[in-house]
Amino acid sequence: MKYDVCVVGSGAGAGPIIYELSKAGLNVVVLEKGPWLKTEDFSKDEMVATRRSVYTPNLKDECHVLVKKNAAGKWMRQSTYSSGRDFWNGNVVGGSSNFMSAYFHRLKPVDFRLKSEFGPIEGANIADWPIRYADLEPFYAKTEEIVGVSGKVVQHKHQEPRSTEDFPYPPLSENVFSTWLDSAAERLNYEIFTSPRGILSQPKEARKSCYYSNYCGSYGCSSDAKGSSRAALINQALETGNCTLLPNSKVFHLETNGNGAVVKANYYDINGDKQFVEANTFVVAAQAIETSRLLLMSKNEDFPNGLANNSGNVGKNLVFSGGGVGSGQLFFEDLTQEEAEQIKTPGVFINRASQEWYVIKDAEFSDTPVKGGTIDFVSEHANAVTKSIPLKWDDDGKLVFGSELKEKMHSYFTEQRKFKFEIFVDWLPNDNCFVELDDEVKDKWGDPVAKIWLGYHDHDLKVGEYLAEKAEELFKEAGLQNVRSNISGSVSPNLQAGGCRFGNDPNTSVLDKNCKAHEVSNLYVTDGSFMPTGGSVTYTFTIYANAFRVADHLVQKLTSS
Amino acid sequence: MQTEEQWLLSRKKFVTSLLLGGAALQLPWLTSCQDRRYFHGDTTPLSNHQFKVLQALQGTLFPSDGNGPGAYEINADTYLLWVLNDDLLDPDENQYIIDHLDKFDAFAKERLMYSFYDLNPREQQVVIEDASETTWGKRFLSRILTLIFEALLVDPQYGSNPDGVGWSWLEHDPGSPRPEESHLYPTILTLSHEV
Repeated sequence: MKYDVCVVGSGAGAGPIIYELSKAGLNVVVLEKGPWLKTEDFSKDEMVATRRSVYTPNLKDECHVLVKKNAAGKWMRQSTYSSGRDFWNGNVVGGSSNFMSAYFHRLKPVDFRLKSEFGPIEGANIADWPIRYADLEPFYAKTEEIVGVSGKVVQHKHQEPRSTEDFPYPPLSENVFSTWLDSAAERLNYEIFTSPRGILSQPKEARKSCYYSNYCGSYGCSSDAKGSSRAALINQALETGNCTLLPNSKVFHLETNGNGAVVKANYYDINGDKQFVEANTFVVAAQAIETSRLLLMSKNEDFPNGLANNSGNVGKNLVFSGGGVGSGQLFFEDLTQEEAEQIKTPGVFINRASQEWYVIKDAEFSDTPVKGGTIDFVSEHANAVTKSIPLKWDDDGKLVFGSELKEKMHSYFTEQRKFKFEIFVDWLPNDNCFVELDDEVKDKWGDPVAKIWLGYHDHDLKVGEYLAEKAEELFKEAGLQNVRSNISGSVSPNLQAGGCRFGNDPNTSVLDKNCKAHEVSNLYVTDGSFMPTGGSVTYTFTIYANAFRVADHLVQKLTSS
Repeated sequence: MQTEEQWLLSRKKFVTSLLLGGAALQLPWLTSCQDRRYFHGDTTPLSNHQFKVLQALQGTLFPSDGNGPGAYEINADTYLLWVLNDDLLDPDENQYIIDHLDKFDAFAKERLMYSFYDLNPREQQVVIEDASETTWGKRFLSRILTLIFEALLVDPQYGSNPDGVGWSWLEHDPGSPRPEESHLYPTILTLSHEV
């Protein structure tokens, strides 16, 4: 059977394509590398969610090779199997959207024209987007409605324009600490607001509302409140009867016909046997690193450097999210008993963010305006083993054990709560951050793994540190102790984009403004790969919105033809 | 990295072990012994000597001191045996633990002439303090502690943390739903729905 559309991957970049095209009556086949786990398969088992490779491949079978600069400035390579540093994010139907924390901030108009607004920065490959915020805005609104976003629009100096007055779902329930942050911000004259979340605060069709389990990020949702691609989109696409879902199907090569069109997706099935599907149109959304890897692996006579890579741009300008984290503690002995009980309330969210410094206009920092970022305020994750591990070290890095360790653990769990802030700034695209195929390490099928260069720009650190200083001030004002932060160029593997940037010039970009490959007539890429710059927020909301935008284009194109 | 053939073989071995109910994946046996200080079960892959060193080491790192459960009460020893028998984990990392149990015991003998488990509590503490000053000792003891934390705080269905004693001590809410037996690691890895 030849399908109308073949989609590689099933996460946030794939879900809107699968949903919209299936509903439009097109025959869609989805090739997902991982298994199909349903809502009833998820539980709050820390062993499964974080202590073992269950939702991600075993690194013995599939790893990455990371290339980083060491302290002496020399580039060093190491496989993630060797280091234990896992770069996978969720290989199941619905992808890593099953396990996201779902902070859903939109990009802002300045993010679409970073180079024009702020000028070039030496050593950074900044490029304006080929579309504007106004082009994406309707699809942010659509995502809010269909995937389900809760929150409350609060006007602030960098609030982006909206076509709807407010989010379709009211804010989730909050911890009392949120109001303490509000008061502290008011005293400091800082703007903070309720964070939008891709989590339902009220039921939506078959999906239930959030039940405040206390285990959100890294865990699959047991009520379907979280707006994963699986729960929000793919389940409904399957109901149309037009969508064929093939889990445990790992695509390793896209085959072209000699005339610049893809005709087959070759994949390994669960037994490791080679299979293929044929389709008229192909959409790749395997998450940025694996998408670039697949295109680079899909070499042939017409594309000797990899599919859609005669310009040499595939894999280049990979971006992550710059910034870092900080924390502070509240000790119950400093609170009334009533306050302590309120703070202890499990499950409810902090849900506060600040974009006061999304653009920094501070003469002491820079003579000209500088792109800043977002601060999200969150609770420490409830994962008990993860919380315990740092406690085995004292402040000097010496091992703590015995009764001293037990007392420290008991005190940490029962006498205080830790709150955190997460800082998101642009990861400037640069020549030292990219994906290529590794020459030595192969995966379990014998294919080369992705080799990821993790170079960052020092500018990211300066901006991150500026925001961290502001966040620390707010935490101290709110009464927290032991306030500290860490800004670095280390990477959060779950925040990856770029590698197939879109643009109007085929010489400098892989995709056109509709996310179709310049060099291939029927190949689209709809995960975060398209982004020339990442903005200063987490990516999932924008990936969803852009995939709905491309889906709109594809429905018009494919149904009219 | 493994070849495809090696991977298929290890996969087959894993599935077979599930079907046959191999010892490594049978969790209830871990809790069936009433007094594991005189554990008569199979300590594979550890020798009886290595297992006694492990028990003494865990008991000093996480003692039964009246402040919550100790390593003994949470079945940290048999939990670690389960980890060492897990074919899906990095075999080099598991062999590292076994090798370093020997190295640690040799270190104790070098310092105080006796095997670690024959030392008195104060001496055991000193040996651990001294070992933690070395690069190898710091890493090894850190690894053992992480596995004690797992034994203390993972779901009781894994054979440790009986009746949630670790959760109760730390007033920890583990969330819901709890996993069904069919959805525990590693069985969940065989699960995938079909259209």
